[in-house]
Amino acid sequence: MIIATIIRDVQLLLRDRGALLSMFALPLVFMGAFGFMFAGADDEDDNESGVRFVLALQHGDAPNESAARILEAVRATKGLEIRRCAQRSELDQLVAEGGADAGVVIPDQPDVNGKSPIVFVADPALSTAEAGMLQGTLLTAIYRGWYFTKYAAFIDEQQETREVDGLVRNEAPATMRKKREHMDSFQVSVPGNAVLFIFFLSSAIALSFVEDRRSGMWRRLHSLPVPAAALLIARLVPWFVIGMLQMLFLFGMAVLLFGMQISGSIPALVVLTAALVLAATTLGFLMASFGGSEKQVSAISTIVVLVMALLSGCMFPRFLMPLGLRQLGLAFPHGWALDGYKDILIREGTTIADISAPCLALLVMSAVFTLLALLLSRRLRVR
Amino acid sequence: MIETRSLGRDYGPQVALHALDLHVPRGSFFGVLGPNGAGKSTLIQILCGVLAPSRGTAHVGGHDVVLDGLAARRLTGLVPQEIALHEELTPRQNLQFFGRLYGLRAEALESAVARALALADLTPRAHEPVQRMSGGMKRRLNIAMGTLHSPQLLVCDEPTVGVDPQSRAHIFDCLRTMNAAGTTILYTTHYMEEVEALCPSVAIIDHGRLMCSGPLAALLAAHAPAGLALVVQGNAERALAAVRPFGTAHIKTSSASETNIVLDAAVPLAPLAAALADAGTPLTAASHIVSNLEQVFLKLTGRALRDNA
Repeated sequence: MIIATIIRDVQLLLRDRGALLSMFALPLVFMGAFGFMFAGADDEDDNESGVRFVLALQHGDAPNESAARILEAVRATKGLEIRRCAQRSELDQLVAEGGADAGVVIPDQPDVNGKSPIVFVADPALSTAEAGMLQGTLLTAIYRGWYFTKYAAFIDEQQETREVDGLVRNEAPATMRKKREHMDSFQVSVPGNAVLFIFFLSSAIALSFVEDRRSGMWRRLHSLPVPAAALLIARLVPWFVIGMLQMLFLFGMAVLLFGMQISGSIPALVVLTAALVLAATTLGFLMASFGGSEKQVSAISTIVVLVMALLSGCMFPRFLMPLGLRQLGLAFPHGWALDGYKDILIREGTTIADISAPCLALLVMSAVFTLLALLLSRRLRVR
Repeated sequence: MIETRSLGRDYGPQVALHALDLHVPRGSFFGVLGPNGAGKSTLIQILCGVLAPSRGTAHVGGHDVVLDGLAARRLTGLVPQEIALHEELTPRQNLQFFGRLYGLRAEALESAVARALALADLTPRAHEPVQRMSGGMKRRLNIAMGTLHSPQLLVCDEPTVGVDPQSRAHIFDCLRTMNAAGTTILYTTHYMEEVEALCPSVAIIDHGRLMCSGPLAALLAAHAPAGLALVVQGNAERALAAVRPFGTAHIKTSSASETNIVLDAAVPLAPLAAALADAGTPLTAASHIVSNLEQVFLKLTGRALRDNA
């Protein structure tokens, strides 16, 4: 009896592609993605795995020995892609526009005690973890160069750290909005999780369409004296409203329960959220258009939602991923939404105009999802 | 009420309907029969505006289902084969939802909901979630949903699958009442006895083609005439030769003591018995063979299984 049951269950499993994907493919995707994300961060042998940070670099043409050593050490740092800037203003602009993750200005004669410091330029809205990893990478190179000059050999750790006080000064690009004085961890964790979970709405939408097709509701609805477009809108609008309520609840509770700060404008938060929920709603429509059984749609939509969230930085800061993965994250709505929320929650005075790029990207993705869904729906024999 | 001209529908390379010409008079109770995959559902979906035809035309109440689809759909109520209800909601909530989609508001909506609940005999259970109800109750509600807007045409796609005899009888009564009030009913089913009981007119479709259409009595007479089952003694071949002048006949079974002969004609027994006696094969028993729709159906559509439909 046990053998018969085993055979039956294996046969059922082999026919359940959704379950197979969840059991075997999804863990592989997660393993691979996390492996690539951490590549180069901890594994000394794997520093060839690609670019982690883009660094804007400005320096003079007559560096002294210290400056030359530091430059050499920075250039030799693995995982850095360096873009040389002629002027400080150019460096600031590159960092402010996201063309570089940070900038370093190395004077010809760097010195300690703030007399002629090396300037480290970064987005002030970086989280402690993000800034720490970036600074860790760069300061190691800078101090290495400095110590080489002073002692003609690299002195490992702790050695006379007082000697480098004032060697590096942190600054923000002049044009970037400042973050609030006290940044809280919820400003990072809340949008990450809210964006992750709003896309489970897509899964619910896809399942509701599949259920309608299975139950005959689809035929009944399409037999009504209502234009097909109106019917579709009527099917999606309630989900959009539910999504907005979900986000309102999540952000509201984050403010009330966790004391999360919202540094930018509330209208900007609402507009970005509306664009995000629209993307989630239309993605649900797209997933429904592929057809399939409830089990298949449930499993596949969950996988899609989780993988998109993973690659877009909902579970792990995108800033800390290798450059290629960071760019891949912007192929999904999650990545754009997280960028927008970061601006609204962390940077003071962020307005709708400041988040126009993420909003536009989300709207374009929504349009693409809708178009694809309409094309695929024709295959499902609907008028 | 329904008029199709050269109506066709393809699914990729597969032709589901071939140039179908169908006429369903206003106020009729019209049965549509066909094996699995014959094209019944495709026809229904085109008439209800769910599917667009690939060629030809279909009119409901004079409105082209493609060019004037909204007007055609306003006249039509669909009872799908599946129980298309929101199981978590109550019958009243289900009816209110669809009533609003039909454009009913306020008193008109409440009146239509009450009428539909009464039709389904579910007024006492109007506030109970559908998921707690029996299959028969769900089926009745499924039908009532299609009648909310008092359609001129009610399209029923196998509406009695899996219901108990009491619910079936109730459904039949409801449909007869609606038909008597002037609603045209297009009824598809696999149960021949349902069509015989309900539908004075019938069409049989197979492989996407109309095999026959018209009054049930005329179809029976044309395709499955009544006959006689005879039991005779003596030589089987001589008995058959004696019967043949009265109509087409064949031996069904034969043994040493008696022979069973089927005569495809309902002729008076006296001359037949005399002819058999003259041949030395006396008639010992005779019974009428009553023709039925199943015989017509199997004759026109064959006995081959349609598992791959």
